[in-house]
Amino acid sequence: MTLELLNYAVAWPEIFLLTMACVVLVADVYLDDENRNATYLLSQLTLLVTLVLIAVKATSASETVIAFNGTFVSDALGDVLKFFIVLIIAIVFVYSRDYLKDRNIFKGEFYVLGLFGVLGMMVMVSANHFLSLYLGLELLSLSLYAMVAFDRDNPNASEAAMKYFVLGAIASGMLLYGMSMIYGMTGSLNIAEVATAINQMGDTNIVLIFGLVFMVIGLAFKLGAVPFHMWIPDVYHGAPTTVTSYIASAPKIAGFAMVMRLLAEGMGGLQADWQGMLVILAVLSMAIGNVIAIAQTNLKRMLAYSTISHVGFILLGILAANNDGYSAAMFYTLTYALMSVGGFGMIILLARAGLEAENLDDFKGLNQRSPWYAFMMLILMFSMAGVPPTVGFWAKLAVLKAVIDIDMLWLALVAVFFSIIGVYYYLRVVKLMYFDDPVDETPIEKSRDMQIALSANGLAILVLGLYPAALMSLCVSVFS
Amino acid sequence: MHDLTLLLLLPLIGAAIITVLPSDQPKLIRNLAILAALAALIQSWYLLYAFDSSTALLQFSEQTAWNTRLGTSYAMGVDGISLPMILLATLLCVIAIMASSSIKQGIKAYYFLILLLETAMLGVFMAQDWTLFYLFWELTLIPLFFLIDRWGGKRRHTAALNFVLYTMGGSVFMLLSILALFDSTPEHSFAMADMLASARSLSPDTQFWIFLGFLIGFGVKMPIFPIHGWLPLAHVEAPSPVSILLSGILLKMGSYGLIRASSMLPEAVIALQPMLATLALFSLIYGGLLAWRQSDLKSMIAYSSVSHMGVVLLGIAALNITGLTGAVLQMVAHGLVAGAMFLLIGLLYERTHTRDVNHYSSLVRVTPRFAFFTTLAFIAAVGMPGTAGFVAELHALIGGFERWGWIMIILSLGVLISSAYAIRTVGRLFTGPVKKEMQSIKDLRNHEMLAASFLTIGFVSIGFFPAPVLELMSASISELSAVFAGRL
Amino acid sequence: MSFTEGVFYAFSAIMIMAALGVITARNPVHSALSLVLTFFATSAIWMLLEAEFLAITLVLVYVGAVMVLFLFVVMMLDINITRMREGFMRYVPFGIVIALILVVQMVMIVGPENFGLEQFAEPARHVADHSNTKELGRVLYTDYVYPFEIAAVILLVAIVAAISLTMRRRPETKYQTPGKQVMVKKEDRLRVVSMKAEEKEK
Repeated sequence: MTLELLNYAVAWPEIFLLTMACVVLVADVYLDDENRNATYLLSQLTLLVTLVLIAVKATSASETVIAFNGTFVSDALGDVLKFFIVLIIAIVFVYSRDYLKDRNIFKGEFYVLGLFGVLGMMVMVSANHFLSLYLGLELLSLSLYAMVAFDRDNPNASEAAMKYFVLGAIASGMLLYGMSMIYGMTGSLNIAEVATAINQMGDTNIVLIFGLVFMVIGLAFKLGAVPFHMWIPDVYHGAPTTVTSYIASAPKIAGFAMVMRLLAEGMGGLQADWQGMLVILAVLSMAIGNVIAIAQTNLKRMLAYSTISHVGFILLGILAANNDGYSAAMFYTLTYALMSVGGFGMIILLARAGLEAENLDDFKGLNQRSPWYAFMMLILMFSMAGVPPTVGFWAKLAVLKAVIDIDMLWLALVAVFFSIIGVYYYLRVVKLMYFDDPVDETPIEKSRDMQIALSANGLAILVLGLYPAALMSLCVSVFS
Repeated sequence: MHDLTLLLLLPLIGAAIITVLPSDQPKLIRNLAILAALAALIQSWYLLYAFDSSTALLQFSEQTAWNTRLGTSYAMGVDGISLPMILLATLLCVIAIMASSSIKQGIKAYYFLILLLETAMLGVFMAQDWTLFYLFWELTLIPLFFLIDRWGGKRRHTAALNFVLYTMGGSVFMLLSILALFDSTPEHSFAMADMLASARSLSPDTQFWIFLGFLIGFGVKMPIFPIHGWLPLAHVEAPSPVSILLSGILLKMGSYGLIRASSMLPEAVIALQPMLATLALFSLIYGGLLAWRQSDLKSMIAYSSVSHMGVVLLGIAALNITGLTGAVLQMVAHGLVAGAMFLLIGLLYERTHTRDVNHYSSLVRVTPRFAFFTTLAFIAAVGMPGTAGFVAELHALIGGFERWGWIMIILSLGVLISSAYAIRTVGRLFTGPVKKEMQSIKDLRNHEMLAASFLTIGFVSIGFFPAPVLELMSASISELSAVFAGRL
Repeated sequence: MSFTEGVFYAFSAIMIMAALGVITARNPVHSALSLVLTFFATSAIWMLLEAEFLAITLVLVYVGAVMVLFLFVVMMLDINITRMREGFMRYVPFGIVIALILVVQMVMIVGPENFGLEQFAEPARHVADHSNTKELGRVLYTDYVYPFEIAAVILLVAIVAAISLTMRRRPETKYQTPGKQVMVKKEDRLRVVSMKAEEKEK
């Protein structure tokens, strides 16, 4: 055993991020509240450099490398997903500053926990081993639990954190239980070895199937697919909006990676079994998510249910179980994360000290207050609804195409049926913004960087909708 | 720059300039919008001039790969079926903008949206790639949603939402069909030409299901009888200029798409032919009867649109040259006539603020110009000889007769019903006892008369000299009908 | 039945009884003590599996440290037991259903038909002086160095989370700063004022 075998060079982004997270943690202790901005800037710098490191790594060596004795895999899929995770969290950080300051919770811990969360996601993305996958997940979850409860004086947030913690622990337990059964049968925790062992055993082994069931339940919990979605609305609603934008965006990318690593790579041999399970989860998610979202008056809850329905769509792509389906699901996940962070960014934009701006009524007459941001929200809503020419349309198109390709036309029909129901509540937001009179006329005052980031976020949805080819080719290229 | 891209861009450029104009200059904005629409009109007439009507091939084609990964491309082209639609669309857009002088608030957004709508509509008729088609198709919804919801009548919110949900609900079925077709296209391309070839070779059963998806998508827009629920509400609640566009062009998008889809899936259309004909005749009678029952002028015209589009569907279902010619001609004719009717009724409503036909009386003395144009429009709606509607309905009748024989009497019944309500309406509006409150109505202003006469000249001249229009589309239609002739 | 099997069944029985005791005991202290017993029984079973290091760690860490801390907390906090138990009976049927499902599933899976000696050969016994600890240490810092490091990060995050959620600076609290106290010089606290000596009254 020599150090060369560890191949740690492919993990430079992670190593750098970990080091810098510790530096931020220590540096923050020595800063006064007046200089807290330095923590923020240092965190952003960390993310930026990590982004560059990932890009450099991805362009210089794109072939698959196994590192750390089989616990870490570096491949094109991982690089792309990590890049987007870091990018989106950087956007979240930009959105968070004013919001936190207004509520007197502008503390270094938010950024430290945020950075550790990113590390957790990156670990999950490049896990080649049940153990590293699970540990990455726990690192992310633990950071998230603490972030949800971050606003300590807010009872809603504490309750949400409690709920999230308990249900998250159950989900982790399920996942572990499933993993232990798979381990019992295959004798390995290494995903590649598990895949080989399963292929030899065939898909009739009852222990494997039970293990699979538990794993899928755990994954469904983490992704928030119905019937394991109970935590999503409460947590999204109760958490501070910046934390919600964190939870709702990048972790879904990591969740997608987790599903890919576990189901597609690890248990490809049991595809016939998990395909059926994912069909049930997807149909239920799209149905419940879209229907219940209609009844919401709170925008955060509405977006929570819309997340559930989007998860259903992502699962549609995955259950196609071929490269087209995976790349479609990946495209959907990436664009969803971008839309989601933008949607919560809009809530943050309208929020100010003493007002959360999380009710639908707070968006009334936004067009009269600020036509530009009303337009941004319009793009976001249309994209979530899947109206061309926004990117959401291409995402839905790609996923539906994948489902039709495997001759599951009925599933595509169900999907479009529920997405039509979905159009209704997205349009309602548009209607409120454009045709109702504003409830309060307070001008929107947010720092320049947030305004630029949010505008770029909204425009990106539109530009990607007009030129989806680049991102789509990227998603396809990682699977071929 | 390619001619078609230029045509697509002209309204868009106008819209873009409007966004940067100061909103306290309504005149300037309005004139600019008219200018942009006129430019598009001129460009479309240039297309007509350069169009070679002797061939059924696509002309002015252009193609750029857009998303190679998905197999989509930016492909445009026109043939003898889409060119009349483009001419109609550019003309009606100019008319609609000219008739918008009563819009006082939010004019910047209003004209921006109208021009955006024009781009989208033109895109639908020019697209030669199914995703591009779908994109423009859905893009029409966004401006219309705002136009109805912001500037519409009392129940505009319901109308706008109904309209969007209905159309979207229909169009996703179309999307599924497109995807299913794509799945069976070996070239992995959404281009209409590629799909056409592979679709025709599909088994009749597959074709049937795929066509059903298209039928739902286009049927909502046309509309065909059981899925027309959005139409009366949207037409009534929309501001009058938007109603012109809705009935004049938007409905034609449905029938235009249906023609394109049927040329791809001939087996399915042949299998569904009796059903289509039944639906057509039913829409015809049903729309006519309901129009008869209306006292609200706008909803009367709206229901008469259902009836007239029934003729279009009948012509398509006949699947022979005469029938298809009748269908396309009826699309043009109805576009002009319904446009004229909505224009005139809209202008009348601006002056009297009532749409109830019973409130009007003896307008012929006060407003002779109104009386003249409205009477002409209603006569044209009935399909009197000398108007475009007559030529179109005659073609559809003959086409249907060739196919089904004496059942076509029902068509004549439909014409009878429509003449009944048309004459009744004209009578109520312009004759009868003098009502005091109707005496102070101003007659048509000059620019309004100009707009009305454009349309009137259009449908009268086609009525008297249909040959050039028939000539324009003959090549494309005979190629289209040849597809079916070989299979029937 | 061999001696090892006897020991296994004896400790398993103790473990199950004790585990039941954890959730049924009325007194939280009894509950915690039952948990201690459960851990003991578990560690005995681990001994049978030749996992001596883990067994000892379980006793040292869980029984010795965690549970003692837990007992302290239970005793120091005045927990209203009756109120906590109110919901218990209500959820019993639900719990029983879940437990039954799990038991059925366990029986289906963890049986000789899946994990019997025909499927998996009996692992070879290690020699007497085989060092479990050394083995564990070796893989922990070589094969599993990556998960090990991540686990360390998780602990760090747990510390950060716990501190950020519980530490409050209360301005009204009075506290001493030993550093400042030590640094105090005589001049800071003591002022010598020269006064004229009092004259004796005459």
